[in-house]
Amino acid sequence: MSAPVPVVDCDVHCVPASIEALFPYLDEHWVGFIANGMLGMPAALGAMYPPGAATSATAEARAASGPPGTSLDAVREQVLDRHGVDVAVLSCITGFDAIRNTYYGGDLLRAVNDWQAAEWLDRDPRLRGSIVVPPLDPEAAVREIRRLEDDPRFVRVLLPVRADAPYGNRRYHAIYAAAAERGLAIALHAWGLSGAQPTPNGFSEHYIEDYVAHTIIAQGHLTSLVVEGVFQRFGDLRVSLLECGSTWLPAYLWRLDKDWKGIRREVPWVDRRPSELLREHLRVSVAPLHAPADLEQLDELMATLDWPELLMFASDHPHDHGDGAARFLARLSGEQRAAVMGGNAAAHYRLGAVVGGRGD
Amino acid sequence: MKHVVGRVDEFPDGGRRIVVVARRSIGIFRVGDRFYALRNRCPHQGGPLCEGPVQPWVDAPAPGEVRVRDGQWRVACPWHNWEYDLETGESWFDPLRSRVRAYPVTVETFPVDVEGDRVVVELAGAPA
Amino acid sequence: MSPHALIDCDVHSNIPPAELARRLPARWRRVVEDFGLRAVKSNAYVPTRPRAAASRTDTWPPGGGAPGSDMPFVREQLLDRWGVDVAILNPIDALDYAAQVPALSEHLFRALNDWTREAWLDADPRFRSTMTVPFEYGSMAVREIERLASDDRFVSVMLVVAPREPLGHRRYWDVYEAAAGLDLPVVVHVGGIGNSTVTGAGWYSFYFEDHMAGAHAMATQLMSLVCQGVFDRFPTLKVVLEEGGLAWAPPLMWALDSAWSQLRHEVPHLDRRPSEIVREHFWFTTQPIDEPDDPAHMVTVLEHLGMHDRIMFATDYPHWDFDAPDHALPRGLPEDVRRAIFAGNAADLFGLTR
Repeated sequence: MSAPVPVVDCDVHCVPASIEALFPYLDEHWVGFIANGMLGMPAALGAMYPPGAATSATAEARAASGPPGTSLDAVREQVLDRHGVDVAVLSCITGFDAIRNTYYGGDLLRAVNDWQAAEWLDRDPRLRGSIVVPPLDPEAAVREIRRLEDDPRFVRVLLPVRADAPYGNRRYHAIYAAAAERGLAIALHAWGLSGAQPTPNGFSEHYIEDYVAHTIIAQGHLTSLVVEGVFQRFGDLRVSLLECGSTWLPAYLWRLDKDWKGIRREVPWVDRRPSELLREHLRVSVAPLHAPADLEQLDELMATLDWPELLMFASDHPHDHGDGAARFLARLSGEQRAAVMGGNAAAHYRLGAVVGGRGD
Repeated sequence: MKHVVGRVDEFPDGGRRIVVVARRSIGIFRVGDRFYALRNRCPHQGGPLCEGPVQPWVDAPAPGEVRVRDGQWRVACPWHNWEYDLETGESWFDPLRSRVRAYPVTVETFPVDVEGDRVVVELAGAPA
Repeated sequence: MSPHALIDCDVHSNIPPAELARRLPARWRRVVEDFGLRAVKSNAYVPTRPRAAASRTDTWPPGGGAPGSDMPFVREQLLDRWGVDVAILNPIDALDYAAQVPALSEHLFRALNDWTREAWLDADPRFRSTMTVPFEYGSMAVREIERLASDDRFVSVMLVVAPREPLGHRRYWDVYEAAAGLDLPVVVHVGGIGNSTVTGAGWYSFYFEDHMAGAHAMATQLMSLVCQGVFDRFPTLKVVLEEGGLAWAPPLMWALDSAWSQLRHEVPHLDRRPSEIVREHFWFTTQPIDEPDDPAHMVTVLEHLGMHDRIMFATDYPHWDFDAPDHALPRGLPEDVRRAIFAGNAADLFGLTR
């Protein structure tokens, strides 16, 4: 059987080079407001991916024209063509979703979706999009999901992991209902900007702490999704976890299952083992993959978790998390590779018949 | 092998007694007219299972909608709160692999020179 | 070689209100009686825990009082029952006391340590205790540490995982300096009131989430201590992470090493891999022990952690997630490792060689 294996890159970043790039998609009064106030892309963006941090961009991405993440040509050359990608799902991280004036933030996010469609999705059939929405305004988020419901190229709704409340909280359920109705996944992506304390215990003082903290914050969101009964209410909902690591999964799932045995009465609607619920609904990207120096330990860790169905390939272009993911992928068997490189994502995002070659 | 563990009136409704039968610590529970007997040792870490609270099980078809399942009684281990069905000894979370021995319990009437009905626990002939 | 076979590194005593009251100056006694202690613990927001006092139901003393308040009952139910050679107390009330106004805080901790001495340490030679100190106020904490320093039954200094600032913050460095100077380990215990939620993403709804978050809070504090350069400044400081479990630690160390390899010029005081710093300065207690379906997986995790000489057994008596000494450790650990975890490592760290 020589059916080609689909290659799906589940996390490719795109970002407008400037806020002015969104003007064609923005209401006139905002254009004037932005120009007069000399507003720009949020400072938060520079805090998430500081230009001088090695992790913010590969050397190659920096060499392309424009700031890293702004060039479709770079994505084609460095990601799509290089890896034979059939489908790449865009993540437009701008920091607009942390803005508390949700009229401003929400309208900017809407403009980002239109910009994404016109200047990326329209220009390469291999690309799929994430609907960006304001989590601080669930009603606006639902309106935006409905506005784009006729564009099948949007396959998921993007939410930042730093938030006012964990993502199982009821304030978000209308967003999940809208997404599930339209067959869209929910993607929780690293960063965002929390309201008060970006760590569990106060303001951290280094970027490196914030960078690693997503591996921890993400776990709180998963617990919340499980115990708030999101998967009972929305049995069809799929959740992606992007740019938050994955090697923490075994220890986390063990503890979650153990606690469930003693604390079930607090949340009796969690009627299945939490690790089973997550195995069914959750997929996790491999970039970054915080691999140990000794790859045998990684093999041993993966053997403790029935993992091949859980992970999805991601380049996370233009970001650079070192070679952990590449080293991991190089060790996969043929069947494991097929699942991680595209099979899992194709099923997770319901991409349909994804051709195993250049997308047409 | 059958063992008499006491008179029926020694087991108040809604209560339980721990007895030692054939060197095994066993919890005898009474709910209404029904008696249950479980090995008094939690399969998890060996805690005194039968000393824990007894409650009916609950389920919830949706978050926040909780229903009490009358008649389905569980005892929770005093330690980690893992719960086991009084009738079958099965845990709710892993009925096959986490379960405690449940013994048949009957109430029997004895010959006229013995006053009152007796609670009888049956242990298998071979060691548990 | 330790003469002990079983050391329990985390036992919670609980001071009866009357014992606290009679040790407070009149003015503060009245404030506490009339206004209570000002502390809204994070888990006060999620009161639907299935167990009162978060405790095993069988730990309420028959003579009355809260779990952990009756020394003879604890002695019988824990030490005698399991053959515990040394039980190290972490007085649970310390979690609230740090959040009071400074002057009251100072009196509360002093009262707690005095009660610990009289009711526990003097009563049975098997008990030891951490020093509970007003760690939010450095000079006060140092005073209390110095007051107790000559009593070697106090074997560590206690902080909490949810203080006002991340533990690497400068405001706690006086405590680290004093502890390191006396060669006392610092223990970081789950709890505290903090001033933020433990998720990094706002308030959760359920006790289940609060309980899960203990591990996350520990992980973040480990990062803070390492990245803020605490061990650069205090090269002999020892830190014990208690009641956070430990299977999360190897992946975190891998993540930190990976990040450090790319971002190290932000933190030039980290002159070697973060995982090396962790292995030099940290210890872990075992409870709540991670329980994968296959116990062999836990043995694997411990190998990845590579700290067999720094893992120490704890029950967390009287709490509901207590680990029984005869069941908690996974099968398949080499015998010498088991002995080290059960007693040898704690004996070495806390100087319990007599």
